[in-house]
Amino acid sequence: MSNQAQNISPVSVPLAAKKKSKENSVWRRLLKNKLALVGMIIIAIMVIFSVFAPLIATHPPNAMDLANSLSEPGVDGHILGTDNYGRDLFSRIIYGTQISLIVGIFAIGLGGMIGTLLGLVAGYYGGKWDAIIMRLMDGLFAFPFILLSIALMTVLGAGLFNVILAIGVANIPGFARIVRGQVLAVKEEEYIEVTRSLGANHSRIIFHHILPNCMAPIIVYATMNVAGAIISEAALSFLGLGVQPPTASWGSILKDGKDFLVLSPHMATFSGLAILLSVLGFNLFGDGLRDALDPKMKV
Amino acid sequence: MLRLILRRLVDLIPTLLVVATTVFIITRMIPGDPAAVLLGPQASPDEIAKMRESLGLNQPMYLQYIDFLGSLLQGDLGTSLGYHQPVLSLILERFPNTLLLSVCALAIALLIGIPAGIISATKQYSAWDYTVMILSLVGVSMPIFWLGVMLVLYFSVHLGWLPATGMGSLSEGFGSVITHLVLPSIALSTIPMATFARITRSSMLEVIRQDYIKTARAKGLREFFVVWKHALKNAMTPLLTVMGMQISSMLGGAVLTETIFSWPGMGRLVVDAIENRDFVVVQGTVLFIAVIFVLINLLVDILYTVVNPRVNLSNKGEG
Repeated sequence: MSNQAQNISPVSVPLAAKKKSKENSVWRRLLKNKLALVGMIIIAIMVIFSVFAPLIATHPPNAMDLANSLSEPGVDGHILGTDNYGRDLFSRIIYGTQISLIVGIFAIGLGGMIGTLLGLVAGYYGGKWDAIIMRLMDGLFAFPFILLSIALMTVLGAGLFNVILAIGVANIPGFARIVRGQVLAVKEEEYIEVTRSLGANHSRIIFHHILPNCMAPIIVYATMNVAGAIISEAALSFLGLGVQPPTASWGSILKDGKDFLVLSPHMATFSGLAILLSVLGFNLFGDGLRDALDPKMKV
Repeated sequence: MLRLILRRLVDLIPTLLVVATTVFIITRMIPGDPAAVLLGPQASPDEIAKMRESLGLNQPMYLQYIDFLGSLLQGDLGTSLGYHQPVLSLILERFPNTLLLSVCALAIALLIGIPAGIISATKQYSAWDYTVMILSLVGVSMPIFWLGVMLVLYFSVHLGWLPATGMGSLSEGFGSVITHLVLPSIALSTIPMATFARITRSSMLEVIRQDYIKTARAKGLREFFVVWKHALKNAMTPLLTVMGMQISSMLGGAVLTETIFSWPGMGRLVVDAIENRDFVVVQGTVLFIAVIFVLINLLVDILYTVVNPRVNLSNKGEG
């Protein structure tokens, strides 16, 4: 059956309408949830800060001015003050948003793609594939998340790409488990049997029929884990293993701030608040998404 | 029960094998010659050659792997290049400190998180409920390394109430250890506390609407007993699962907390080892923590069946 024929089949028309109506009701539920809305606003602000950082930042983020180091907030046009090198803290925090979002999105994208693929294979084929993949995932799951990232960063060396790789790898088992569980439930559905009896091959069944029905928990899990990835990046940079100076990262600003805690508490305070707010934003949005996609799961 | 525990122990073998293999692969990912990296840039070619020999790096990879597993089975995690001591003895020196910190943090999290969740559920949509829910939302989003820094700023630097770093010493009195323990325990307890409050609330909300609770109330049982005895017992099952995950992630969180408060535990050992490029210690500590992590999960699985005998341990986690 050609794709075009499938698109105009009498079954697919009501299905498409039903899908659209479901999407609308998810959006309605999401927009009604005030906390989710707060989360969405925080994420939107983060995206705006990232994209328009050169326009929003008041100073170049790495421009040093040692004569004005550790200035208080509001002094000499420095909204949030300056750091130990006299760099404008507001501008560095704005540019730090870019790093947090890049790491959050790409690390979760990487971990999500590999984990989803492994979960699909394990759940769909079962048997020895399931046993091998899930034992591997159980083993990786045995490492506390941050510790696995630390171990990987220690050998890979610091840098943005390696941070994404380390956090991405640490995220693989979580996605694999979630997707496998979903696949086990979905593959028993009647419509999968029907699709199979119509002669659809494995990859078509997996990617066209099973995967779309696993997307809701994947999206919720991914959103929540962007928050985790942002914290992990900040933690790695705080330990000196993440993004390297002079690149502005919230974790590295906090690390410097810790060394000047008595003289200039604003460095640690503002960088930490930025981490807290962004993580809170993704958590609120993730909570709202989960409630909107599956109200029964409400916590 | 014993048969089920034995079965779970057997199930752990492949998991532990993957853990060991992962650590082996990670250490072999060190770019360039691991011996040269371990010794640093000042090392002479002779020293590097000796190090290669002592690490068995001249052998084929599969023999290195077999040697690695053999050493692990004998409890040999290698010798630290910085401390010149067996890694296992370094870990065992510090493990009680991490355990003390984690247990205190867990106690704080349970003692505050569970009652907060229960009261929140029993007074749903009240000011208390909203306060607990907002605080727990902030709590689960808290970067504990930042909270640690802020606690030091206010309680040590500004108010001077509590020491900022170190562990104190029993020779200075029990109070010295307690005062040193307060801030790191609070920092480490924040995320589990908020998680327990959220899970307890949702689990209690489900339970207190069930018929047997209505019956207990109808029989005239005091509300205190209805909630804290009958409802809580059945609300404990999801809490136990989460507790296992939280205890495990606390071991990871301890790395950051111990760094901020200079607490002499395993986390501090890892961070110091990273700074000194002592990969043998990093490898050994990561492996040790992962094994503890696996054993805690086993313990939680067993507790799960004790609390809720209807749960079949052998089937848990499947499907």
